Amino acid sequence: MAEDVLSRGGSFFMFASVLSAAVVGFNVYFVTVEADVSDGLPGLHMVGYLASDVREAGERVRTALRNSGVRLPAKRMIVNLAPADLRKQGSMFDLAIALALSAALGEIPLSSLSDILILGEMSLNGEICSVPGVLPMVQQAFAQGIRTCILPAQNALEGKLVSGMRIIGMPTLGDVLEYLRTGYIPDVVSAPGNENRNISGYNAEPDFSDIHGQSSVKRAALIAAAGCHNLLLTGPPGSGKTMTARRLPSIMPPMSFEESIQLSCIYSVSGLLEEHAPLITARPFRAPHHTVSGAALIGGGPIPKPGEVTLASYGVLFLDELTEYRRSVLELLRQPLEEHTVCISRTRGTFLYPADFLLVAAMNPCPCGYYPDRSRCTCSSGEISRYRDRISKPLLDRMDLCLEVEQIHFEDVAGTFDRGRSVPEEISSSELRALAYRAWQIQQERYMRLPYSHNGRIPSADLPQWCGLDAGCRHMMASAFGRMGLSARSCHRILRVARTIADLEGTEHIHEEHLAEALAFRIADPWHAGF
Amino acid sequence: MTMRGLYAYWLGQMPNLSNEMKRKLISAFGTSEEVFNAGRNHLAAIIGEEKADLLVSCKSILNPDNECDRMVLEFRKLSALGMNYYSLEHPKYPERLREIHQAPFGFWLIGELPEAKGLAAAMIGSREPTPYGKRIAEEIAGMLAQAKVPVISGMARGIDSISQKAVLEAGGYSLAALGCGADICYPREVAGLYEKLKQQGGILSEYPPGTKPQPCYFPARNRIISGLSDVVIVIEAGRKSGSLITAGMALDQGRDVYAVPGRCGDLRSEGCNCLIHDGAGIVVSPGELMEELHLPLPDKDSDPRINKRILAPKEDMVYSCLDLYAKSLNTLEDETHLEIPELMRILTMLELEGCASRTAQGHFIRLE
Repeated sequence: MAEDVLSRGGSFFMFASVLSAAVVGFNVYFVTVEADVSDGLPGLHMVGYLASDVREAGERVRTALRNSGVRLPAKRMIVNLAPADLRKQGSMFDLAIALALSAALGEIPLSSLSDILILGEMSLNGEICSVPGVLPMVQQAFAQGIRTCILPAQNALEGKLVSGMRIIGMPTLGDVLEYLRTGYIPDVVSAPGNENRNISGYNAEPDFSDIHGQSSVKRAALIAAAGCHNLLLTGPPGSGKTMTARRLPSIMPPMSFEESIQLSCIYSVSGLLEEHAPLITARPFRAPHHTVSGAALIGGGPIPKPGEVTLASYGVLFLDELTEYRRSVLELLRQPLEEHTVCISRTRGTFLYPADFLLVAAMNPCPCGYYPDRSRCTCSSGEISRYRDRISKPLLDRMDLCLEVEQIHFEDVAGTFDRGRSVPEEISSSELRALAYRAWQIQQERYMRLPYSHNGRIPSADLPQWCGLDAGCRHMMASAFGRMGLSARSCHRILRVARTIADLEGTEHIHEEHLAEALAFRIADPWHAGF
Repeated sequence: MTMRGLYAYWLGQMPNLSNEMKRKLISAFGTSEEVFNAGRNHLAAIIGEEKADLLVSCKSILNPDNECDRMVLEFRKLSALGMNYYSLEHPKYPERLREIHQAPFGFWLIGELPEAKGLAAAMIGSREPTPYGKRIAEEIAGMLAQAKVPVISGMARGIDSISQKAVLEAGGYSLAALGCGADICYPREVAGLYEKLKQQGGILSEYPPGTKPQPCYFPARNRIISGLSDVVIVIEAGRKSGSLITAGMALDQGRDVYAVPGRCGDLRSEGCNCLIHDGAGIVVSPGELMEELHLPLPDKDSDPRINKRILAPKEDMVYSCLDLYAKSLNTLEDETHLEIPELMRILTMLELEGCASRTAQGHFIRLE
């Protein structure tokens, strides 16, 4: 993007522009950094609707340039970040500003900067520091036809996830200037390999074989993982609710590459990517503490940062002690649970974030946790109903699988206490994963050309197509509707769960036994049951 | 609106005058109007100087000839709201209640009083029943309703309201005696029952409309529950249950007491078991209770044996493992040796066929 050089009266008046980018929410905007050097009152002026962190870049860049051997003349230097109507925020423009100035000063050839995306923060000594959001920016640049990027060395691996893009990771400004003058790339940059990028996170995770007994919980976990259904576990303390939730990601089938990239983008924007393993292959497990604020859960800030629901995309969002969360915070989950996206409106605009997570919630049946075991529970019925009322009915309606976890019997754990005695073999995560994977593959095939890929995500309109019932099932559903007090929403959820159970068995249509099992996992409705 | 009702209302409202004194006045003067018109000395002879002065000074509250009098308006307003005042002098004041020691001078009623003739039963019990207690209460209540026996209870949480609900659902009559004003629904969660009682039964209270519930009012209303009935059936009472107070009062009033037994060691049936030990009648089964009370047994249109015949062998096996005491899924798994998916399927089938029910805790109980 070099412009013609104007020569007037022996001194050079030069103009240069380079390409950089910014992420606002998940939207990538390209920013052209222009620099102009002219006679006039000496100084560096920065324009273009800048936030204060970008305005400060001027001082950083000036010092970094000087420390990298570029002498700044006593000229009037103007840096403009276009488009002028977009508020610029963040430190990713530093390197672009430095290079635009260098080019304008004639330190590097103007032509060397054309069609290159430049991102990076500067430190005063000329080092280039990492910035968040590199992956989506590079991805977008590739889509726009850009084929070369200069990135901070720490972000190089992240950038390389976009295949076909030439990534030049640079540790210092000096190296970049050297490269742009001569094409020389220092060794250090290419050193860290990319071989580890497909590490499976499974080995490090806890295994289902650690849980003794509790076959009903394992069954519910299997169905949840196989069809991406939300799971609510109710039970006394120490019955294995949290253990189950922590093991759920380990039985979910592996993420597709697209999902990994999507997830990495989310973590990139949030600045949570690891430098050495930028591609996230293990499904996330997010367990925000119950003091979490609404903004932290859903996403918040003037330009909203992704919240826990977004960070849990393609993985598990675990809410332990569900009743302890503030009610207003929990109600925020309603929309993402229905639409699998989060829409946040602020004065700066409306931001749409992905929130395609599997919700696992755990709670006690009463304040002390032991109800209905009256020999231990001393809560009054008022206390219990007040405790349960903390979770609204609409939210409960959105839980596909509800299960009461029971206290573990001594016989189930007894083996672990005796020296030398073999513990009864428990079903392991890999076995469960194989079962879930089979059902998963059936779903992938069925929904091949559709925007969703799991039973838990079938929109209501498509339910008749995939979850059609025969006469027997219809009759069962009709009697369940009256007898169990189902809502229209819970009916749909039961159909989706029944579809997953049928897929686990590999049958084409939903049979009565599948529907019956799905009905057994519905919420035990205290309003309806009245016990 | 009769003037007599108005005078009874005036006397009933009188503060600092005990139930007993009001009764004495009625037995001496005959009607409240006579009391109103009686001279101070007459009154003093019966209730003493101090109370007589009080009564005379309170005469000014009521001015029956003035249409705009506060008390006249109030009385009219309450009548328009369907609340009627029944004092001892009212011809419809229930005879059973009149007999008891400490009979209330009067009470407020929304709805109807039970039939004067025939048997009346009270059903009382735990506020936090187990599914077992709930089930038994519903069965007994249903049978009583079919036998056209009015069921008296206290509309409390638990057995009280469960029984009354079941009676109304079976088309029977039920009366609630409250420990607060009859216009107040306490506890709030039984609002549905309260509204239904207004239509299909009655709500009674000796406390004036608007009285907030107070702990001390409840034992007092218990004497009305037992007083209005001939038999008192206690279901699931703990050792310190209020139901035992009612049962004690019932015995004092000469009513028959029946108790539903619980398992030995079951804290929530301990009171019932003690009652049986002390000589209360035992409810071996709802049917046998009916027989003992010389009531007709309802026609059995749903014989459990018919259910059994159509059940598949495995369903039958699971059904036989179910109990009136709720069992958890894991217990059933151990007992039936079935895989969880199959067990859950069978339980849902049983539930849909009306042979089993799931409690809010996800446990299962048998239905007949």
